[in-house]
Amino acid sequence: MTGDLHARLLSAHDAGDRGALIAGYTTAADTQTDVDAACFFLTHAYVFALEAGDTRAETLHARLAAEGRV
Amino acid sequence: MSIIDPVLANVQKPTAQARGLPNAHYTDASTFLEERDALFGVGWAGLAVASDVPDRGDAVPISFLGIPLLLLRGRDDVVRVFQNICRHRGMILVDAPRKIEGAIRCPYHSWCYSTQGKLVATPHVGGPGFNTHDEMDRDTLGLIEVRSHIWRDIIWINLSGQAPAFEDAMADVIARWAEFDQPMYHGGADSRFSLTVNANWKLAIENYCESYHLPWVHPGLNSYSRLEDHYNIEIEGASSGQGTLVYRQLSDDAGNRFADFDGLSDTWDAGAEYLSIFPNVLLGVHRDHAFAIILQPEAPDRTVEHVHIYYATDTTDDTLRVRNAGQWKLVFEEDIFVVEGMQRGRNAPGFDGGRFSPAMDGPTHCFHRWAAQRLSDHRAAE
Repeated sequence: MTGDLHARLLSAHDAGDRGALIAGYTTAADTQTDVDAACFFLTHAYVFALEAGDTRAETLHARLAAEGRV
Repeated sequence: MSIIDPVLANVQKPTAQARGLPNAHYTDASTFLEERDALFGVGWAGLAVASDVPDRGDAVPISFLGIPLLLLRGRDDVVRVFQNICRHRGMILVDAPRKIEGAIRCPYHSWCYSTQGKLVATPHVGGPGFNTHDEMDRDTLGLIEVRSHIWRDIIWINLSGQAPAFEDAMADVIARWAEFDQPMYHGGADSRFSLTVNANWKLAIENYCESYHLPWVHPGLNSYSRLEDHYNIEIEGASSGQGTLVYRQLSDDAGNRFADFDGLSDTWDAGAEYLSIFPNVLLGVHRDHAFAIILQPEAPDRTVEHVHIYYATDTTDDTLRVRNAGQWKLVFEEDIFVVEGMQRGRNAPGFDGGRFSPAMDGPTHCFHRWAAQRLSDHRAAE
């Protein structure tokens, strides 16, 4: 994860900005080469999408399901 | 064989000879806890009103006798009551009233629950990035639901889960007010208020259910509502209260009044009734409005009274409605000094629980008899 993304995520956590958290953790997952690391970040994105009732939850769930993680 | 507690036996004597519950029932923390199980847990108690969660996803945490509960209107529009704790490590889930947009996420390890209480996500439960585990059956780990029932907008809960069905337990009360079993509408923000009283919850019940005090504590009623215009109501084991024969409708200068509830019989032209539903709900019905007071015991000597006023129509005149709420608030505030005074009186060593007027205190004694019986049953079962 880049320093910039890390900072953006911390800021989103501080602000309780779930939209930014979903986007940030999805980006973090997309930049991983290791599937376990990617699923770690996808999990976070999925959880915040679930909490927010955000439609991205469906796609994130499908990506985790494809790896047998949900 | 159970041993009969002589103190409780005194409470259960005929009204003319009986004593009230002794001081410990008003001042002692361990007795307060005993009553949580014996008087609240076994049967149906009032928790809140459905109007507290008007929209889907509305969630209100409530500490009820120290028990963390969560009132929640689900995505399916059903109002439910859950224990407000995560099934993982028992963390409090919701710490302030708010709207649940999607799922309830535990702030500790982010286990997520649907608004129907189903466990829907267990992040990293099988290790980082692994969100399931063979030994973690989500279907068995939903939020713990508390049995509940809605009647007259009140959300009644049965903590033990063992009480008879609400309609059976309250059959006599429901039948008495069957004419009022029709739509009623919460008056909104200006028709709800809370009063904190430094007194045991039972004193609020005791004061509410009798008319004996009216001419002394509410002298404003004397001009038209004399003591002899009232009658006692005793529904053994469930409720007691009083009725009046001279209810006078509120009206403005132009003679406008609130609309009546539909189809009421002549009894209610000038009649009104006020019932304490044991253990902690106070209700009143009139031809044109009703109210509910839910007592939330916070400590042996502190109770919050949550007042809600209802009408027969969805819209009512703003000025009249505010006046009505103001009138009732004044009456309920006039009662505070007596319940707080009786509470302070319970610190007098050796007070024997007091006596009851055979003519006037039947409803109060009816409540004490109920409490004593429940306490006896509880102790016998231990």
